[in-house]
Amino acid sequence: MFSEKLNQILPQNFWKKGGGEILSFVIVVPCILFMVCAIIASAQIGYINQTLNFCAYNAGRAAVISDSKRAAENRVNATYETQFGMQNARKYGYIPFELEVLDGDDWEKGAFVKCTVRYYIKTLTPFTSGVREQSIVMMIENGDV
Amino acid sequence: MCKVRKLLSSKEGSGTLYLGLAVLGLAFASVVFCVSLYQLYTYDMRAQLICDSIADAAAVAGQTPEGFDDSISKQTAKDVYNRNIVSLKSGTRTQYTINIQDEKLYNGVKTGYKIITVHVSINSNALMAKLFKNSERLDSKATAVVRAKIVTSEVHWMNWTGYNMTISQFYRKANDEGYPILDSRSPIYLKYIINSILHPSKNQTYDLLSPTGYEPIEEAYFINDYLSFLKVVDFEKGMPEKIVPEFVLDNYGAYAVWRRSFDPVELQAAANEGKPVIVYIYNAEDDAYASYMVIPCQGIMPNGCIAVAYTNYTGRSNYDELQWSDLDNGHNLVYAFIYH
Repeated sequence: MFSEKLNQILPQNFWKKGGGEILSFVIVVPCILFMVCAIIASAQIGYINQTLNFCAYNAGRAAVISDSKRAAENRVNATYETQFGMQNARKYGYIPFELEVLDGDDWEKGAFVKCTVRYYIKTLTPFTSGVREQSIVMMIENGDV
Repeated sequence: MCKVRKLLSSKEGSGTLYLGLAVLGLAFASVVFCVSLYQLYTYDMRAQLICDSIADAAAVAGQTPEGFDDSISKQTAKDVYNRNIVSLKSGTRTQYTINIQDEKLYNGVKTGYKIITVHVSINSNALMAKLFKNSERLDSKATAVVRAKIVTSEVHWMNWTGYNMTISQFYRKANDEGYPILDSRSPIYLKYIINSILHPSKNQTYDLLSPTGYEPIEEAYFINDYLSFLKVVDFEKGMPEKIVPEFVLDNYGAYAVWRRSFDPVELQAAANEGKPVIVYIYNAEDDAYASYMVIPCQGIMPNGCIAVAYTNYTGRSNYDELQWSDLDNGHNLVYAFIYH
């Protein structure tokens, strides 16, 4: 039924003149293109995750050796700004980094702090674009007395 | 399905169709492979960072006034580990091990450091890992090793009559008895010594310094800390009061007393009572900071090393003959910090 209708639409001797190859090429090309885009998108995400991880770690290290939370936030801010700048965060309207002392503790030696950094990544595939974040928990090493 | 089967069994174009399907399959497999590689790479790095965080926290948390407490260190490591793996995807298998042992150097003599080794393993949960569920080869593994100072208020005093001993005699005696020696002829070593007491946790990657060595020390934040300390000290006016709380800060409940004048007898008495003594010598004539001097008779420092430091602003060219009385020669303002 379907093949009869298809043969009516297609020119005569379509299959004998290599039409099958053209048809399969037409079907396969978008798939291959999509896969190439997916590979590039995963590379973009991988790269940004790596950078975010390193930034979170560096910012966290800078924070935990600070005397106070304020000093720690300044250091995290400086680390983030050097790594990513603030333009992206302003453009897409997200909080670029957070420094949270866990368990409601004060900024003191022995308490845990969670350092989270974020970045909006626009990848080749729209459904993988978005704000990515990485966080790391460290122990405060140089808190207030 | 019937139509597809018919098409595949037909003579015209079936080979091309097979080839197309094979290419499609290959492309799909390559995507899975590439994505898995990225996932594995990302998790590898994540494991390393978590591992470093655990080791750093364990090294600092274990420091207590009584020395290095392995159990506190391990508990902190566990806390840091647990809090970090929460951020990983659910279903991710993780595990860690921590090993703490004394560092030994020079014929089995303890160096005053603990060696903390942390291993972290994360099953990456990558696409490929799902195909090989039990393959440990696809786990992301990381190792971190840090050195943590053992700081204790219990100082082991040697029965040496240091006050009557020249520095070179002291040196030789320490060397003969197999103790590692810190030499602070270079300002960089002074930072090491003062920070050994004030910031024990921050020196964990330092090696013991050879008596004649002048190796550069890295760790920028450590040096910055020291420089910021120097900046706030106005030597012309003496040590400002505000500096005292900063000494208190990291000294585990100890406090510092400073003196503008140098009284060897008093310092010796403090040393004999078990108080580590550091003498800071400022050369007023040259308007330059000179050196720290750790009174040799104090014996083993809290970090387990013997520290020897002396200044070249004493009027003597031969360090070997340096005596305590040389320090109080009118050119040096001497600040002594006695840690109680």
